[in-house]
Amino acid sequence: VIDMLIGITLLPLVLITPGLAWTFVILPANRVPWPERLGWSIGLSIIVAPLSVFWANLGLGVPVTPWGIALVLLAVTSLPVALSLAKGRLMSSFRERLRHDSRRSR
Amino acid sequence: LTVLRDTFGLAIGIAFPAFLILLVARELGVLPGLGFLPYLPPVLAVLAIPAIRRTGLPQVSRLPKPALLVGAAFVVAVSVRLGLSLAYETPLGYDAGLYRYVFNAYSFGLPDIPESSLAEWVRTVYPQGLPTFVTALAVFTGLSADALVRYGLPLLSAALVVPIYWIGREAFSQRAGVTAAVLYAISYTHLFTFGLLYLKNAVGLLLLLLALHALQKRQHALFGVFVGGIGIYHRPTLLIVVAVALVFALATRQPRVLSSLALGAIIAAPMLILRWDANWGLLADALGGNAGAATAANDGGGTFFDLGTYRWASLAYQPFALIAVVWCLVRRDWNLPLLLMAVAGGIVALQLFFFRRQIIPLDLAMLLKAGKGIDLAIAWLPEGRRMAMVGALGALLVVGTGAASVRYLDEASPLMDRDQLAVVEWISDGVPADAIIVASAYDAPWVAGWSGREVIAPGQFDIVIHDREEWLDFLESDSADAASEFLSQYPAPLYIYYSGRTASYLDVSKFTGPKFSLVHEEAGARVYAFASSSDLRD
Repeated sequence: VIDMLIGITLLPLVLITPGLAWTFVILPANRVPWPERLGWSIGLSIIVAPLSVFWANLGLGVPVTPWGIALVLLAVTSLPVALSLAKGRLMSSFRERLRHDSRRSR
Repeated sequence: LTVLRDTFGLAIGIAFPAFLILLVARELGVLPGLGFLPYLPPVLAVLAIPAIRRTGLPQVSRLPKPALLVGAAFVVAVSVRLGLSLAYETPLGYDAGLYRYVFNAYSFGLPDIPESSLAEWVRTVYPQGLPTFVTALAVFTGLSADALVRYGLPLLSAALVVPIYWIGREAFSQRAGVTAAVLYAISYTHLFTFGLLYLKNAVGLLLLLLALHALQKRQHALFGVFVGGIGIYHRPTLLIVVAVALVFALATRQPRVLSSLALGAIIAAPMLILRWDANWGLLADALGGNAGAATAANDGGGTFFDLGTYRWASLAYQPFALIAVVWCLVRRDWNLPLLLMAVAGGIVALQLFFFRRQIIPLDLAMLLKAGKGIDLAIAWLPEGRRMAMVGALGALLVVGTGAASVRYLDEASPLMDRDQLAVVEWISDGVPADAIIVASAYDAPWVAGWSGREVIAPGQFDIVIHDREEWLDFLESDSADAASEFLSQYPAPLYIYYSGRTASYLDVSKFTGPKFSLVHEEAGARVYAFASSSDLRD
């Protein structure tokens, strides 16, 4: 029973988390209602998880073991987070530059 | 003229409940016969054209708590499916053993994905997406693939109510979305699909609906990712979504949809190219109108019902769906449910690409259109007692749609019982590891999934020597000599499994004489050993 409970607890890490992270890259941040974001997260996870596990194994030789899958899921979840952060930083530096230019021109 | 049109609209409005009363009376056995009923929906739709031309956007009140109604539809759908799935010790459906074989093949190959060592039929029939996903889920969570399928498929199948609601709401109205979701929960077609354990179809449908919703919301990148995802799970659904997207791009002049399709191709193509040989053969067969050629000798129990059965199964909501189609055509409203209906309906009508299974997406489109059609029908109801009539219409619709589902729940049972499956499991210990098992198309998936041995069956798996007619001759023959001659063409050691089910079509009276010996029997299920001439000489 404990094994089953642990298994059920781990399910969202495969079924929701990777897709949820990617929704913040693909979809506008605040304009998507949460139920729809959750639905799309599940759909994206169903796509992202097998794609990443498959290519990580065939292309990079990452074994299909619990730790191997955890590593792949961590990478595939971190990537969009990093992209989002980079996008946010790029946007803020771009805005800063614009503000700076407008001050100089004044 | 206006009075005439109004009167006509009112008459049409009353004709729908009258049609449903007749259908319900037939379903409840009060009025048997009524074989003319399937001809009425198109007639009603044509007669409704003047009323449709007059009706503007119908002013129907918003539902107070749509999320609650969709939640209730989900609860009904999941309860019915879980109840059905857990009522028996053996899994429902024909494909259960095939999925078990595929998941086992992936599991035995771990810690690597056994892409290069898979059997040819697995490479042809099962794209990498589902086996990789289920294997990864099983390895990561420690849950068995069997448990994931048994508990996961009811949830997955029931979860479709949510994207159905979203699509109906975006395309038509909130009420249309809720109606479509409720009808889905009680639809016979989708319960039957679940009962056949069409796992790939279920994932394909979920991704199809999410893709269409992304397209409705003009989330083109998201749509592209979903198209790619469909490509790695279910190729027939990929054909449908691509066709719908192309027509949508043309009709709405949205060239960005083409970029989305290109993104989808980039995601799916590497996996499809890895199995180019298998995929090309399948595509060539389908384009040549020869879909299913590889399984021509398979007369198993996994076949979806035909269009004739579907006409009855969907009769309660057909008139509403058809008037919604007419409404959209009159207004040149090229919405996605209409395009999905056109594409899936075209495939079914022209009998292309595994057309029987395309009844499933066709029915999704029908349900969505029916949601809109019911909006229209409500607008045509007499105003004085509209609320009471809406209630009656809803009740008639639920009974008319759900009656077939209730009958199915009563009749549905696994194709094999626990004792018959126990004999298949005995094979894994009781016969040599290199033995090959001969079975009828009906029994073969179970033998493949639970025996751990290679299987020979009509039109399935990799060892193909005989065609359909030769198999039929063998299965029906009672001649030991003819059976011996047939079987001696296959590699030894050879065993035969027979479940004892009448649908198995195997006359076991031929397995007599020196070359055949009964090695195991339980509850009518049998395993015979076949000794070829060389074995006997030894």
